[in-house]
Amino acid sequence: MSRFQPRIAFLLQRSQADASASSWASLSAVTTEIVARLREVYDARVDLLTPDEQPLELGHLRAEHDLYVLKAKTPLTLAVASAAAATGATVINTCEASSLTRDKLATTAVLAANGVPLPPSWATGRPALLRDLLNGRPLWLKPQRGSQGHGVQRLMSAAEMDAAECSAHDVYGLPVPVFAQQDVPSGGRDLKVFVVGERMWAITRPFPARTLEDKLGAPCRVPPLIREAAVACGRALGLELYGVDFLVAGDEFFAVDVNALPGYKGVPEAPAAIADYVYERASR
Amino acid sequence: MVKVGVIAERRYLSQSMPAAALRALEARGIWADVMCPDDARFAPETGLVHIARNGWTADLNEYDVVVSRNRNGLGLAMLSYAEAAGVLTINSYASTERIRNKAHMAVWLSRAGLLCPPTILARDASTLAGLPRSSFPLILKPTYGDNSQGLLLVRRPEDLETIEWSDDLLLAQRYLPSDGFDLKLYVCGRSVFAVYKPSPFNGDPAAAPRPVNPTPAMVDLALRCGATFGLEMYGVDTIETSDGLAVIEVNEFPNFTGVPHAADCIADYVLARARAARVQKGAARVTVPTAHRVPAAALAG
Repeated sequence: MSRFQPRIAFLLQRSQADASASSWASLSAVTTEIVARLREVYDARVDLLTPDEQPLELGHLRAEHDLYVLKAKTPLTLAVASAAAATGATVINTCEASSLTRDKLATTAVLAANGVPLPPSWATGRPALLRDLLNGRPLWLKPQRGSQGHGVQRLMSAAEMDAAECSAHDVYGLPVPVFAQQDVPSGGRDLKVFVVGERMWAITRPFPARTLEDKLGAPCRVPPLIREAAVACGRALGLELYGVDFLVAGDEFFAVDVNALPGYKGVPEAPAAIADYVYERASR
Repeated sequence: MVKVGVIAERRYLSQSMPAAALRALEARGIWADVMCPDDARFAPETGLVHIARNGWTADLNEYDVVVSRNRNGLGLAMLSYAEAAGVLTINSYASTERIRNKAHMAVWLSRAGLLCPPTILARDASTLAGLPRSSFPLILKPTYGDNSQGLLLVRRPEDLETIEWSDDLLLAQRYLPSDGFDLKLYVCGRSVFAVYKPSPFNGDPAAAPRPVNPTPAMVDLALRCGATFGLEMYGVDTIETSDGLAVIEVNEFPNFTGVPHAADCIADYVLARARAARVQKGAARVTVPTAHRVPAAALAG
């Protein structure tokens, strides 16, 4: 009896450095491992797609795969994912969930409304309106879209706040909003939770992580309330493969960042678990 | 008394929508709270919106309905909060996001099998150079933008060479010639209005909108567009072709230009929806447990 052989596509972005190369030199180690397991253990047909290279004609849309893994979130990969979903394919994580998760403001709003504990947070197009929130406690200023700490500033004084005045405007002429979070004392450690469907791992790391060793962190048990909060994040945002960063402050904890399909650094079991999950979802 | 919140960018307050709808609500005894993201500080953790202009603070949790005419990121975050907190939103955050990004709108229109001009997504203009001459003329559109912002008409493939596209995604649509007028369909709930409006490429500055009675085909097309995106108040730009009406674009909460009594229709619709939602919410309180809530309390061992 032959087993169902699913067709799976990974939506990726070819980095500038690879543009001329034909190989996948910069394919991350995690993705390489997932793809290998899907091919070898499950006999799946796996294609690595970089839709950024050719125009996409919407009239000729046809999902050639049963399941799409949305790894790179460029405007074109998102559009391809949306198109694939439109023709009936499964997309993990969905285009809507991936887009929402990239927007820190909307994500924070949705998580808060679903009862996930968050540091006191504000958003405004006029940073001057944040001045009276300083109160001797620093504020973290983060861009609305951004990852891996890009553009994050820690502000202590009103003078620093004034210097952070918005310069970018959106296409509608309004200032691009800034997102501010109150500094919560974290005991210098954060807890990164990684989720694959129903499975979950955590690593604890010094905050901020400086060295590679710091970034790998140390595996730890997921405390029950944090497990519950991580599950609530996934449900609220519609994510299946994701990570949540928590700051733990004494007996309190706060979710500070959610990432769709992160790198699962420090969790060696993750690639196999992702491959198993993806196969299971493709066969459903 | 129904509590109505309106999220609107300041640029819209001088336009007929939502201003006329606000007046129509007042005529019905409802004074809506208007929240402009332009001078707001929003606390997404609590749902409180502080309005700097008058030092007033609104609580998004307290509204029966939040009506949005806004495309700014801050206003959208406010809308997403209201929706996640169980407040009725018109239009919803999800439906607004589906059409705010024109690439996604085009994908969803194709998904629904609606007649559209042939549409291509590309990273930049140079990748369109391989298209056959018969694909032209093309209209290039940025992913985001409204009021015909940033539209570019490209008549021949050679013209692509001089185009520098600054956006990170380009939407190219076959230019369908019209007689200088587009048919605009406006929808509020199940009410559909039709108006012939001068197209963005109409040379006559004196050309004025002309309302007509919508045909059953127009009504059907308009409602299918709404169902596709989950919109309740919206406009559909169409062009008449030999194959029927083609959909060019869908917009959430437009100005309803040229539609008589649009403001009354909107006010009645919003109030009816809000009252129904209130009844539902009341019922939900009795039967359904409250939203999943994780207490920010002690980390048990």
